[in-house]
Amino acid sequence: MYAGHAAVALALRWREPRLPIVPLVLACYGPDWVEVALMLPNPQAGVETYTHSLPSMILGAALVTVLWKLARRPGASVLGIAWLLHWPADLFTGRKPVILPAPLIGLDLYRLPLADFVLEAMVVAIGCAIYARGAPKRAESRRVIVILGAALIALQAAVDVALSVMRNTEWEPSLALATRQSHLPRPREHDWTGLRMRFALSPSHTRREGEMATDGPRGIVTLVCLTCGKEKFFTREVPAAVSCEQCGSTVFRSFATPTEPDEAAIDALEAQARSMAYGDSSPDTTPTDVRDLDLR
Amino acid sequence: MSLLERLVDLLAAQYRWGMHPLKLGTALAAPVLIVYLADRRIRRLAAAVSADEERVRRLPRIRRR
Repeated sequence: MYAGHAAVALALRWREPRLPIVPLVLACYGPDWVEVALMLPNPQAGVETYTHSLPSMILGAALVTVLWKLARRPGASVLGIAWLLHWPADLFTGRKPVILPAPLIGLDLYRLPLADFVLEAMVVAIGCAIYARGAPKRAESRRVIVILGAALIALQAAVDVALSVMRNTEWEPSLALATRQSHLPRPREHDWTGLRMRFALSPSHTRREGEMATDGPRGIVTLVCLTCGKEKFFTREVPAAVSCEQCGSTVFRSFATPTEPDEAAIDALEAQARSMAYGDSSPDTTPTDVRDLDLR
Repeated sequence: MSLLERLVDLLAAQYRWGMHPLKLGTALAAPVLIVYLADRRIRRLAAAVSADEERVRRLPRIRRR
């Protein structure tokens, strides 16, 4: 989430008006600031585990609360809550680590920039409305809050335009790695209707087939970074979370190249192959093209 | 090439270079600055409003003198 974090800060400000707004907004963006700080000496991927996982969130929130309390300032617990709220907010827009670098969970709305914009604009509107309750009831203050909301929404729009320019459209929401299971109760004996429903809703492949599917044809998987074009090769299995060493991007296009003869792969290659034999007709080549080529 | 196309190309080029931490920092600082400026304005307004109210509250006493 981007502008949404600022909206969370505005909503929390209403709860603790004595707390200055700058530390509150900084705490709402806290894990992102820590990530930037960790990347400053040497831009590298994989620091998210130290900044956006649940243990790091709890640690960061506790640290901020204790430091603010030591400074004898009001609203230490609100600062801690602001830091903690970063994780559920990011859960809507990205995919974040829980404890370890994998699995990453989240709704991944950054891959659907329009949906992300709508969600964040709504969060900003709600945050501004809550903040307005603590502001003086004057037309001037209402105008300032409307400008504030519009500026945050404009920032969010700029980010979402940038995200859509990346043409990063493969939406991969993930809230759990568990496979789908039917919630229907086990059928009683001779309850044929229930049995039919169970068959209809059960996965079409057996466990044995599932094992074969994951085994698949042996080969090399090439991941090409969409940002910088750097290639990564995997001969066994591709990890759940891969990031580019050159630019830190996590978006790749994958190509599978079988290295052992496999009937399906051979069939596919034969179907796609074009004849190179002399005299074979080519669908798009006219006799004039062939004559021109012969003259060269 | 239209202005919008140029802007889109510029953004695409930015992302091709990768997201540098300094750019990320700037992106994070922008909402902080916006919220700070708006909140400062609201606080000044609130101070002015309370000062007005105080003046109004004291007005009868001044007249009495």
